[in-house]
Amino acid sequence: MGLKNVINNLFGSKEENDCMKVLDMLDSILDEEANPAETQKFKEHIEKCMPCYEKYNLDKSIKELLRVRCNHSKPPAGLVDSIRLQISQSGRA
Amino acid sequence: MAKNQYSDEQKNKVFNEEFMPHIDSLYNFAHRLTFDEDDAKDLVQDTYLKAYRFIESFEQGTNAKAWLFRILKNSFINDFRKKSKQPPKVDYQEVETFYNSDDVDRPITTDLRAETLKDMIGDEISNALNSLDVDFRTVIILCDLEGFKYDEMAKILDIPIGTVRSRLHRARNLLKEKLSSYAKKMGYI
Ligand SMILES: [Zn+2]
Repeated sequence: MGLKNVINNLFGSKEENDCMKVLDMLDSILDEEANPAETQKFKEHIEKCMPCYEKYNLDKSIKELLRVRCNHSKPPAGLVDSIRLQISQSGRA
Repeated sequence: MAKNQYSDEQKNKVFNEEFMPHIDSLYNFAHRLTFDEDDAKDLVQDTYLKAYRFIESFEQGTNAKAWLFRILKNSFINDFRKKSKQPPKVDYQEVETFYNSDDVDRPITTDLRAETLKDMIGDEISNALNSLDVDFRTVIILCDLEGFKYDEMAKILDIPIGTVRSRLHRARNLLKEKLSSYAKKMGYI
């Protein structure tokens, strides 16, 4: 937690503090690493806070897009055979 | 490391049933690390040969995919990056120190919206990912493309979970900045 957060905790409004705490959980929520209590708290917050909902929605869309669009390079034909051949040769050595 | 005695038949069974099914993911990872088809092929081949050679230190029933990714990542660092003619990348420690400021930890303010992403129908997301420094690129690949959990990533990368979290967070912010600049260039925002 950075200095800015500390200052905000001391002087920030209640709402800003809530948002900041919730946004700290964003990665864990997206990656399904948060515990049930955190997940519940997060859900309740984004139902009534549009800015946080939008940040969540953006990050979620990017994560989804990465999964769908970036998994396309397939191994060249022959790689599997070449691996098997090398292994059968090394086995004999 | 526990040693398991496998007969040749068992070795081949583990290799075919637990290791080979991950070849597509390993190749995609290798390709995004090296940006070269031949290098990616060599790296994957090397990974499988090592996996076979050290098969006795693989505990059956544990996560074969994570184990293979760890071998590939180590081969990339130890063998490939050294041989590669690419100019040396920025030392990660330096990058981490540079980004280790409140400026990068803050949730970035961006005009980018989920709806804008739907307009990006080309290779923008893939290019944005490839533009990231290798250590940031790696955590995104492991987490978002391959679905590894934080504890698995920590083992694959030999770093503490806290570092996995902070590196991933920074990587996502950098990726968003990149996407945001593409969106501006293309006139979406
Ligand atoms: Zn909020």
